[in-house]
Amino acid sequence: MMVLLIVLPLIFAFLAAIKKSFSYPLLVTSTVVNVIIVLLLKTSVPSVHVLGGWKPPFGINLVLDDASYYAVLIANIVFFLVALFKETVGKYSTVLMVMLAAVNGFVLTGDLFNSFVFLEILTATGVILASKRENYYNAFKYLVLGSLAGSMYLLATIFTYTQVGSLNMAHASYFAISEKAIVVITILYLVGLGVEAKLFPLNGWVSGVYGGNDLSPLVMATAVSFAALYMMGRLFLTVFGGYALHILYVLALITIVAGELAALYQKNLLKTLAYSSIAQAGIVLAAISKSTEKMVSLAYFHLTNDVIAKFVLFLVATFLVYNYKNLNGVFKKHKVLGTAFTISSMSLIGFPLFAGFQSKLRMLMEMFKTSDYLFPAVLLFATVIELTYLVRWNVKLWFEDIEDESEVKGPALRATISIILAILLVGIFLAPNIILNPTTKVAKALLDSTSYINNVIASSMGGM
Amino acid sequence: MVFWISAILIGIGVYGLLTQKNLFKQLISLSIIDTAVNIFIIAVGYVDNGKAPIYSKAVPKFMEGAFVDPLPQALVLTAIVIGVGVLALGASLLVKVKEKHSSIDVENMKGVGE
Repeated sequence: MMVLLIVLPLIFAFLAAIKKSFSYPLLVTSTVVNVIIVLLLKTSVPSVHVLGGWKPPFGINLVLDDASYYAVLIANIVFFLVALFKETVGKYSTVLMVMLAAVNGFVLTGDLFNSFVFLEILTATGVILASKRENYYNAFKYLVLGSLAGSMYLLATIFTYTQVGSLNMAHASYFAISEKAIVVITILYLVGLGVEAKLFPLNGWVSGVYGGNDLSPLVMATAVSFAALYMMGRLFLTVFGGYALHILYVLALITIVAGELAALYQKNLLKTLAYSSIAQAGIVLAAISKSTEKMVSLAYFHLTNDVIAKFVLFLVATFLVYNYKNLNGVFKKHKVLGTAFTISSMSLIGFPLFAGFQSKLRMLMEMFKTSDYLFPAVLLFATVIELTYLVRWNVKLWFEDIEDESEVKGPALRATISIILAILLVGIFLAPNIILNPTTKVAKALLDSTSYINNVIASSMGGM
Repeated sequence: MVFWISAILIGIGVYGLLTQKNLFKQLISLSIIDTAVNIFIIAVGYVDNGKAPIYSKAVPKFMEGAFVDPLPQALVLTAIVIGVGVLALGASLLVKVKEKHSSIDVENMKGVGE
């Protein structure tokens, strides 16, 4: 049944191409059906689907374990929420459906070349989304970086093939790859995934794409970002068991500092949030690179908080930026949106009472226990900068004198969804275990490559 | 030998990406990198004196080293299709860039802030 997650949106996208006016209803249908399928799949975790009966390692297989289930769940819910906004989606329903198929495929697949194909589809659809509102030049920059990364990903895949003789992730994880080859493979994968995961030298596209229109940040900063960071964990922890993690660690720390500093000096609201999103990805990557169960679990916990908060922030910010010329004091007209924005930015900073506090504090305590002081230092430094620019934006949006007198009618749906998600952030602070329990399972599944291999190999006995 | 060709082509492509100010030349550099990777993949699957991977009178059954590896060829087919897709997407974006910014040379583009 899990193959439906990929096939259904893809079929619907083709149907939408036949008659344009059906595309939006088809998008809503496919996202609703996908969320239902994901919820139904909960009972069948872990399971492996062998496509076409070609048993692994010869054919392509889809792996649904605790980790990929969680990533698919988050991604599909995000797409469902995005699909509710008819105005924002506009003419891009078909693209969103293809992207949904690509995200699901990218997360579920157990085959390296297959994941490359889905990565390329993800990049291509991302470029099309980014070109909304005549944002062509930034979309082109993303295309160049994205497909360069795709080439590196393909090279890494083919190097793996020369080493283990198959493209199956479980197979690659099972065989010991020679010391020289693994260096090349992991570095190439780092470059290949680094673009989507917003790793430091490769994240030049982020501000242009997130800051360029009202649709791409909603999807890319949440669902796609989650998928890319999941894949980072899958490849570097499960498949290549711990190689190149120190490089990832260093780059992630630089990513945090560079992202926060760029956000501090940014005058544009959307671009500030884009750079903050880079910094948060850096925090997650640094925590993943520690490769202990506790830290990986906290990494995905933090990522979940970030995804919820960023969704709300971008939801509110895109509405403001594209409806008002001057943003001073704009929340006096939109109190509900303002409250949701403030709660989410507090969560992002890590104030007590909000979800971000739980993940940041737990990370700090865990790192102090293992007496690693570099990451906590960087994390605290980042928090101070975050505090500066987010509070500055909140003050500007709430309290400065109104200059733009025009008033746009309050968007009811946007306000409802953003306030519900903001309340969810407070809920996560009060009961962190609703997220921590699943992410602990994610960490276990990512770090336990033996049972991953066994699952896939056992499926070759069972057939379809 | 073929590996060197592919390495040199990747070098040319990266050089083009870094130095060219014309966006279309950047797109072509990207295409060169794509081609280089494809050549590399084909070269990986090559076997000296290997036949095409089809059973025929000359090669009636599977023998070690009789066939070239068919899998990289299948991969390259897919990669070529993806490469063409990306090239077409990039070219169509550049048409729009030209319309909006009146040039596709980074130095002469109008209205590109920051």
